[in-house]
Amino acid sequence: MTTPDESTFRAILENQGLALSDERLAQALEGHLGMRADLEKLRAVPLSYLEPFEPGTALQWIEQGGIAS
Amino acid sequence: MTTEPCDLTAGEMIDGYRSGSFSPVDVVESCLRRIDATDGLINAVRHLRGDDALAEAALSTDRWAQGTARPLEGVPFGLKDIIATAGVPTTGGSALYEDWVPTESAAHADRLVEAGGVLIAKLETFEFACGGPENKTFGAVRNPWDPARTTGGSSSGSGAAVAAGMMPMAIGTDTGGSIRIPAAYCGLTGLKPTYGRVPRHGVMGLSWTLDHAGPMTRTAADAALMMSVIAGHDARDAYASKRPVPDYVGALDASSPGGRIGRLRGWFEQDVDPEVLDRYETALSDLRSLGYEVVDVDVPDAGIAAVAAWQVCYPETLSLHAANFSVLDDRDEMGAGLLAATPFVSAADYLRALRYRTVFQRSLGTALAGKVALALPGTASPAPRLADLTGPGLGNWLATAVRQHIPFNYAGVPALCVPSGLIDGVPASLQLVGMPHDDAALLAIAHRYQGITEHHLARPSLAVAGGVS
Repeated sequence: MTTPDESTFRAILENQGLALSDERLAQALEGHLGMRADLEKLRAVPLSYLEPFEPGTALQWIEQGGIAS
Repeated sequence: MTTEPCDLTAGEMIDGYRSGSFSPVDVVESCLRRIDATDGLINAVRHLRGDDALAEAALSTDRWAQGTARPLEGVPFGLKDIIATAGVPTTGGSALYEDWVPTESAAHADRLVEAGGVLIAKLETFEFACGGPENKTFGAVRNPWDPARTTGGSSSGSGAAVAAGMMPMAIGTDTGGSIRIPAAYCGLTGLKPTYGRVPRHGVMGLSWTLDHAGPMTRTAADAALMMSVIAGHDARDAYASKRPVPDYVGALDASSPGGRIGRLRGWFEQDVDPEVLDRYETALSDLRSLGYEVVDVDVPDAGIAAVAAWQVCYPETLSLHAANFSVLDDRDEMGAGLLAATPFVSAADYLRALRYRTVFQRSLGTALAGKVALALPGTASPAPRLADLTGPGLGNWLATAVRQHIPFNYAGVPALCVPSGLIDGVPASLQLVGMPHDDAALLAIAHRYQGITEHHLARPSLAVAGGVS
């Protein structure tokens, strides 16, 4: 998997109508690359398809005192 | 040494009001004297309600005389200045809101007032709860234990004010440790409650999935007292819990100590200062002496949870602060860096992080099975010097400081810091973590711990002297 570079980040920004100075963009990229290894681990975790693992599932777990429904 | 009324806990103040030893006016006057004597150096207070607080204290004094006192009648409190207060300036720690006066108060601020509490001051904060220790609009808040050091944050003023004896209790907010870090650095008890337990209505948001509001006090008993007032459903917060509010105060002594406490090893003990670990080992021994069995546990996916939390935080922060993106470079440094990082999380990664939350919650649940709590150091280091928190040092501090905290914001479980000793004259801290809605159980463990230790009684020399020497 290729990792993003400054041009990738610049394109993402421009697509949202946003702008950053070169220094801020470099800072953002450095931060992203610093957590990239764990981000790729997150992306690799298999998530259940049939058992609902949805944003609301986590809220339900909290409301039920840590008991999965 | 004579104890000034402002140095009493909220519980002691209420006992004194009930017995007629002193009145709310006496206490508020004492708090105002302490603020006058110390805030020139500490810079914890953003907006002082001196005359209004005295007038309200007089009404509270009448209520005690008439037998109509409410649960917090006449107890002074402070609010982090990202919490809206009707008719009282609320800056968010930012020049952008310097002149803003809300017309409606936050739900929990109203509850504190309706319970008889006296709002004495709005308290400094990192800009928008993320700007960093050096607030270029209102100045840095200095740690009462050592004014050359940070209080941590983002509830910087809340930590400093309670530690300095300006008031016995304050509200902080916590997205990645912003109650617990300043509580740890300032020698306080700080509870990040279960997600949804205290409504977020009226609080300037950073990340609606991770944001919490909670008490910062000198004792676990005062935190329980505060929780008994601020917890509970509010329809204006879509994620506020509908569960009944337990008797937090009654639970402090309701059961016998004992059971297993899981010591979080691995990721949570990496990069921790050796002296912090030393105080932590002593704290664990103290817990054993109370009858708790301490066993090792590991949550191997904590690092993934931490990065998942950031994948949630960034897009939610951008959604809430999109209007500030174009003036990002005018913001305080740490917040500017955070906001600059927000546009680069894909929708797929954001949703994956929200779905992975269930995986991590179950992992934490497994670690907590058969245990009354998990334990870990409150922070990785004692409070750093403000002079060291510039340039790369600021980013390094942020990454290190949130490490012991943000996984529990992400999971939504309660987490509590209590003081566990001093290192070179500044506080160290023990953190306890529980299952959702086990806030009362954590407070009870902390209360028992404070029953056999005196760390929570230690006071910075500024407060003991009553002023700046």
